[in-house]
Parts: sequence; structure tokens; C-alpha cells
Amino acid sequence: MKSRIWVAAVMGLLATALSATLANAQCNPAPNYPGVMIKFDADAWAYETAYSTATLISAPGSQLTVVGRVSVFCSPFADLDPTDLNTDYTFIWDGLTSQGTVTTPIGSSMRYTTKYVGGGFRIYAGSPRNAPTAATLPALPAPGVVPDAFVDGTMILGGGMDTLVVIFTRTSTGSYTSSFRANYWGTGGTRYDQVGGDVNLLSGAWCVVPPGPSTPLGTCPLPAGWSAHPNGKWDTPLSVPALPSTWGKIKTLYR
Amino acid sequence: MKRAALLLLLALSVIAVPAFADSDVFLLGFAGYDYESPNPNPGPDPGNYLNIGEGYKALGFVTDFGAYLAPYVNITANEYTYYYYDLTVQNYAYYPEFGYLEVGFANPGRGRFYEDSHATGTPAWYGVYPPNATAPSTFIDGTVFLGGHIEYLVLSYDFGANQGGFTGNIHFDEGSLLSQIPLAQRDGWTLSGLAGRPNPAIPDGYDHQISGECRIPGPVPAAHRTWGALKALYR
Repeated sequence: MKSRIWVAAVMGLLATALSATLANAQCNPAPNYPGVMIKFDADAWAYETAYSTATLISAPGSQLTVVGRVSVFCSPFADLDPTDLNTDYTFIWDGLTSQGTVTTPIGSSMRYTTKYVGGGFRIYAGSPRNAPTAATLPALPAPGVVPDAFVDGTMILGGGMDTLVVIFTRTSTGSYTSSFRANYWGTGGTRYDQVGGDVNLLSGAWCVVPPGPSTPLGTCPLPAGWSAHPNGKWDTPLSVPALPSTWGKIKTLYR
Repeated sequence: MKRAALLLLLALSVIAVPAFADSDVFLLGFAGYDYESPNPNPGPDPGNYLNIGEGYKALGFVTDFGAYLAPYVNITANEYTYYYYDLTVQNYAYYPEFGYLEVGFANPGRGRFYEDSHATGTPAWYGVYPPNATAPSTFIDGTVFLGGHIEYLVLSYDFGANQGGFTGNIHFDEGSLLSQIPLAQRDGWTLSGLAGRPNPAIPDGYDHQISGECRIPGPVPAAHRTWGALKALYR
């Protein structure tokens, strides 16, 4: 029993220090197609003001917030390293107002569709790395930590989102499939000039907290107050703006 | 002596551990695309998509490693890819009035994760209309660092919203890093969101863009105990 206690404690500490996220090594978009620009994996979570984990229902008017940490930067952010021990690349989606969950029984499956409108996003570069990880995620409310630790530092990119559509389905087998999808566009931030205001896709999976004591396949238990664990990405805009330069800089490219 | 040991045990039992240490944990994340192969009825439209007997493939790049694997990967020296295959549609249900498709796959399918040296290997390229000259071949060269059989995979898709997802069990049973996952934690599972057309990121011949992860059972948790509860263990 003692050895298992030590193992659990050490694993918790290791998890915060040893998560290896990838810089631009995994960015190989198909030629002539926009690829992933920014991805998030282990460390991203959602919470709402009026959501029931027991019924999986978001009430009309509920305010959704998503916070997380970047795991991969690709072009035009490939120079940024999400594994930098001195920099915390975090993000927030907020201002998202629920239109209310629509439940649709389909055969023996149940589909839950929720649309959120009016939202935006901001991505930050902060120091030190103080945002929680999956291993240290606190229950909510966590004043001073959530969302504070995800919105400190310099905003490198911010923008708007059109309707965020979240769909999860309790399938006929009892397991849950899930997805989220929205269009985004940039409006500001220190790196805005490299992205511009073109529209592209923000999408991924939306792993909900299980509605009961059991953990069906496709659900993600989380500390109290959280509603889901998203995993997803921002795609590169279709047209990345040209960068201003000087004649001298251009000449150096051809020496 | 016995009292000292019990006091020590009490102190150890209240060491702070993650609140959900007994929950499953993140193993790795991925992004990529999926496609049908074999695909005797081509086309992503509801009537032609993932009919019974058709094959489902997914491939792409590993984008993140959790604590169990992170110390043993070198993201500077290597490219990390994944490939899900041997997934044949066994159950099919399409509800046109809801625009909803749900398919199940015959057990087992297979999932493999690869490590390929940048210096000596071949960069992975999607190309178009897979299988092609580079997909899946450039995604499945290198060393299998982890692999397993996939069971009870279910995929659902909403044609009205152009999005869906899949989830299934994956039991890890091979790979150079298999030993880094304790035996009791190898019954993992996988999930992914699917984003379909209109989607400018999807190369011709692929069906959906994928973003997902694999998770495994967590370690045995520490449990908080009172002094009275501890004493009761030794009566």
C-alpha cells in the first residue's frame, strides 16, 4: 500500500514536468492545403455557468468558457516552442452564449446538440508556466487560477468565432462520440499580421464528463465544476498575409 | 514501533496527489485525416459512406505525448505518426430524417504509432486520393513505438452539421515503448472529432479532418484516511 501511495504521488508530480509537446516537427500539411496552425491536446477544459453534468444539458443563456494550453505550433507560428520551460502558451474562449441543448433520440442513440454564439478567443504567451495541467486541474471555482492563469502574459493572437456547434452522441452501444466546430478569424495580437482576418476552421473532439457514476467509453471524468475536455486545433487561414520587409532583407535571402 | 509506523503511514497517505489520479490519463494526441479503403462505393455522401464491408483508415501525426511516453521520445530528431487500419464496417445505421449516421466496426482493428528519424527516414506526406504513393507508406515506416488492437470502435456523423466523431477501446500490446506503460494500464481507449466538408484543409480523396487522442487507465490513487480509519485496519 505504501509503495502504491508513493507511485501515485510521484506520477502526479511527473505528469506536470514530463509532458512532451511538439514544436513544429509534426507540421506537414498536404501541399496546397491549409493545415493545422495551432493544436491543443491534454490540457484543455470547458466550464459553463448553467450546465448539468447529470443531464448533459446546457441551459439557454449559459456562458461557456474554454481554457487550455497549446501543444503544437505550425506555420506561421512554427518559431514558437510550446515546450519552452519559461513560456506558458495558453488560451481562452469566452463570450460564448448557449442557445440551449437540443436532445434528439435517434433509434437507441441520443444526440445532444448545443450551439454557442457571440464568442471569441485569445492566445497568450506568459511566464512563468503557471496554468494547471491535466494532473493538477483544480475543482471549480478556482479563484486566481481559472481563468486567471490562462490569460496572463502577452496576447499573441485574438479573434472572433461564429457559432460554435458542440455535438456529442450516446451511441447505440452506450459509448459517446463527440465533436465541436466553429469558424474563427483573427482581429488582434502581436502575431496578428501573420494570420490576418481570413476565416478558417476551429474543430476537434469534445469529451464530456460522464453523466453518472460509471464512465462510459468516450467520456472524461474531471474535477467538479468542469463540463468537458476538448481536443482540437485552429487551421491556418487560407491566405496568410504578406509580411512587410526591406530591400536589404530581401537581398540577404539570395546571398 | 508499530505506532511510529502507523504515524508514518498516515503522513504518507495525505500526500497531495492529483484530484483525479484514479481517472484515465492522457497518453498521446494526434491530428490527421481519414479515408475509406477498400471503398467499392466511393463518395462521402450518406448513401455511399462507410457501407457494410467497407474499410476505414485514419492516419496523421502524433502531436503530444503524456507523462508515460514523454521521457522516451525525441521530437527534434524524429517524426511521429499514427495509422488506424483493419477496420471493416460491420454495423450500419443511417437516419436520413436526422442526417445521422452511426457505424460499428468488426473487432479487432489495429492502431499503430511510429517513430521515424528525420535524418534517415522519409517525411510523411498525405498526397491525394489515398492509398497513394505516400499514404499510408510514409506514415508507417520507421519503428512501431506503440501499437494495439482496436475494439468496439463506433463512428457517428451528422451530415447537417458536417461533423462527427469516433471512440473505441485500444489495448496496447506491442512497440518499443510498450514497457513504459504498466501492464495494468494497457487497456486504453481512443476518441476523435471529425470535421467534414466544406473544409478547405481536407485533401482530395480524404473524408474528414481528425483531431483526437488516446487515453489509458490512471495509476492506483492515494486515498485520504483519518487516524481512526487507519487504526481500524490493524485491529
